[in-house]
Amino acid sequence: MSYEQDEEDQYAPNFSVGSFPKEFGYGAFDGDGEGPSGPLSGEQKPRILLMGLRRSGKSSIQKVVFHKMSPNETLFLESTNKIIKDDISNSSFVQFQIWDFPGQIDFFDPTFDSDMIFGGCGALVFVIDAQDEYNDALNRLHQTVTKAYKVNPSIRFEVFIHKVDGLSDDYKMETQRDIHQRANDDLADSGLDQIHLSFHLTSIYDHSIFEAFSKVVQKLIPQLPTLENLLNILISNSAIEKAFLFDVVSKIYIATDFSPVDMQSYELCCDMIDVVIDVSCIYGLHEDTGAAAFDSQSSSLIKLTNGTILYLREVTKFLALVCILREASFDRQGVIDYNFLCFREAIQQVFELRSKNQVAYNSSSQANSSAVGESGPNTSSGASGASNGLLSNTAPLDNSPNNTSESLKQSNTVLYPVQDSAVAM
Amino acid sequence: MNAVVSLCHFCELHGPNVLLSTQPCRSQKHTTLKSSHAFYGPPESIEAPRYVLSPPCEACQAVSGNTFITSDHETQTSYVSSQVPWQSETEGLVRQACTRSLSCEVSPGKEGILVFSDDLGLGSSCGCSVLSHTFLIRDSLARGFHRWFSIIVLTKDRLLLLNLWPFLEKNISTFVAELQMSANKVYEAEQVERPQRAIRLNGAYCADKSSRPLSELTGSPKVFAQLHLWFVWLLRNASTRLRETLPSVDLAIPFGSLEECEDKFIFVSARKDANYLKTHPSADNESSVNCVVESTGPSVSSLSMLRTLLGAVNFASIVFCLLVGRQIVVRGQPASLVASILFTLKTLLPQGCVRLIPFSSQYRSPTECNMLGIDARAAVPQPSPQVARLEVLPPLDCETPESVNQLKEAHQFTFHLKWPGQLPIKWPTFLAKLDRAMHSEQLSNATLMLQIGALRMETLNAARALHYVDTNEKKDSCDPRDKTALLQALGVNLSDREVLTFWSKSCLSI
Repeated sequence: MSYEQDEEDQYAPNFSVGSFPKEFGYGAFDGDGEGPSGPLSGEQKPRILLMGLRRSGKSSIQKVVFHKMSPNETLFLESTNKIIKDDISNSSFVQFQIWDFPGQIDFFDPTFDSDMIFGGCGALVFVIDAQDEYNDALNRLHQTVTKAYKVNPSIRFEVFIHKVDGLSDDYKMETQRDIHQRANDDLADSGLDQIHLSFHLTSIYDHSIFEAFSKVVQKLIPQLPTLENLLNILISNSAIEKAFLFDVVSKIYIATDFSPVDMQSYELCCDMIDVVIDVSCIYGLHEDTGAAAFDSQSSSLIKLTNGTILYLREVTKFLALVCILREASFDRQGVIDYNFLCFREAIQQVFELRSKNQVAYNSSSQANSSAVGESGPNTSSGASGASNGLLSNTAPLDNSPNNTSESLKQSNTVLYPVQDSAVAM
Repeated sequence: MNAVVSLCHFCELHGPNVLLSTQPCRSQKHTTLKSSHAFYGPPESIEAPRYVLSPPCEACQAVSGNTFITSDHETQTSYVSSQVPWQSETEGLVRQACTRSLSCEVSPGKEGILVFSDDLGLGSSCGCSVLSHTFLIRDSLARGFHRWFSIIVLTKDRLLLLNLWPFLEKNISTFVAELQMSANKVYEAEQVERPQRAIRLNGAYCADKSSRPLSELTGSPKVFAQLHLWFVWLLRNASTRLRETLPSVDLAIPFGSLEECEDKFIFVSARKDANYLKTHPSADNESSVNCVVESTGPSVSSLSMLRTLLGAVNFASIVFCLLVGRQIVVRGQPASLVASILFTLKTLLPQGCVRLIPFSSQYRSPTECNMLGIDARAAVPQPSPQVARLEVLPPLDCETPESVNQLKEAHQFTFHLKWPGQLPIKWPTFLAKLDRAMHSEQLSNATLMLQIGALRMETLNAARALHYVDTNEKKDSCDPRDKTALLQALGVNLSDREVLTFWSKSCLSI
């Protein structure tokens, strides 16, 4: 039986939504050098469950964040009738499954195997429609959290107060406060105040959903402290204001430095990735070569009129570093590039160590990140000596030995510091 | 067909839900009521349905309160359609199948037919199997512009369901196509009136009507009555489509010559052929010799009587000779006694193995017959292991044939078995079981005949299986270990081989 496909119905029978090029999908990871092809094969992928009442926006979130669907198109999504499992295994760090639940079905019913559903789950995202009456949603949230906690106490609970795009700022804050208050009161009433709920205001029409999802995903990355540390060292030594390590496909940032994230700079960086990918897709792809839009040569520099520079560099096949810095600091681009190379090498070491550990010891993930700190300096110190001399030709900085050795001591990677005087202006 | 056919849908508010379930109800007692309003099922099945959804929803309550009934007077079956089956156990099964069909099972296409069952093994009787056809019905007001429906067929008999798959698939697809066609018409008309896509893009997303009944979607108010009729047709015709017959392998070996058959089912005979003989002496087409048997006179009427007359060991010997295909010659007077002995013994063998001459004046060779009755004065060869001879001797005090004819009772004669052969140490299963059964005091004559019929059938089946394997072996050499395993499975031991060889040779290689 086949219907005629009229114009209005192009999305109904077979979903092929989005302008997302096929070859830029989540393929098998064949990283350059780090080689963790299938590092997680022995390890169970963490699961992120998307739950909530019907029409709260679960499927829309999943489609917009992971399938590049345009937010307007989500109006035409059908209601989800079964659990949709989506494998996100694009980068070697971000490997997880998204399970999109139908809101109509109570999965705590004894006919469902709740151990199977909640047992191996890393995070539970509960979506509440902020534009609607949310009493029922709060009841369901309480029910879901308490039951899931019984099955799996290590589960992380995230509450997305969703569809806040139509709300005024005051109302947003008021709603968040109210939901926060009531949800925690409910938990305290049933004696479960040890459960921690994180709240996020989200909307698919801006970048808040990506930002919130980034936070969810980051909690599932055991190496997060190491990555954050590396980014801190990088920005302090290169006079960068803010740096994000992005998962290119989903535009989720898997790590950033310790300075607070403001939404605007995050949006800016997201948009930059879009620009790079779009331009690269349009002009960079040759039909005969199977080149991807994003490869090891990808880099981009955007100068804004307010004296800010956006700088993008490829880190691995799926990760990009996006930095925001003042134009004046960029005078020493060579130093920044050099520091970036060091940073990239360190990241690759994290990958390597991780895959090694998984193969050899299958040890706990916490041990991975601490082991990097110990093994790092030996491997990188030789390289730094050689390139010190190289740098002195191009960038006649007075690189005081003190400064260099200090950074050596602090970190596992050797970064070349941009002079303080050059930054302050 | 013992199955429940249901229409399920995925409600925007309540999730998967059952809309209409049709099940057959058969009469327990044979009523002769022929009125057009006769209902054959139990009366509780048409009581008002208990099930009411807590927040009423138009889409979920399409038939609640209504019950459709169709009665088939020919088979005395009523088909009842209500929202959920009236038995609570069946209701639970249908609900679970509904959830699985719409929210759990994944078919390769979006819509499509599939079978799932509780994983309890193929032969299991407690699990139920479900054939489900999920499909989409277009709805201009629904999210995604369509709604999910499914038609499920739930039955306890998995093999039946799998066998009916092509029939069910073909017909359910027809129903679905018809529903979708009418829904498409409604959808297109609505789209012309109010193009939903444009309305939604303009931001006024309030038109969503979360529950519309199927009757509204297809534009036919009587859609559930229509579905009821379809489902009844499906259930009624599914049962006439598939009948149990013998497996095709048996077609190679005709039964007719072996046993009496009726409609391909074997008639296990427990009849005493001695009586048969008395009433239709000449109608027996297997006796070419025109024997005249008086209706009165001494006769052996049962095996147990024969056993008493001969003694247990002699009886066992003669049965053994009979089973493995050696010739039995009964010599003596009067003819009626001799023939009755042979006819009594004949019940032990399947028809095809019997080549019987009740009474003859001269000896016939074993190639002509394996059971022979001859006159006392006829010459017979010396007894050998291949020929067992039973002499029927009149009492010593009556020498003349006239005085012999005076004797009325069989026990007045003496019986003498002349057979130089030896019974094997391990008796064939047939013989051992027969001996045990006859040894027991408790079995009545009629029960014994049934036991003999069963033993005969058992041995014959083993012989048939063996014969089939043997004939196939010639065509393509199969592993001898397979054959050993087969014999083990059939419960055939070494001592049975001779019996089986004779049986399969004489009655199967016709």
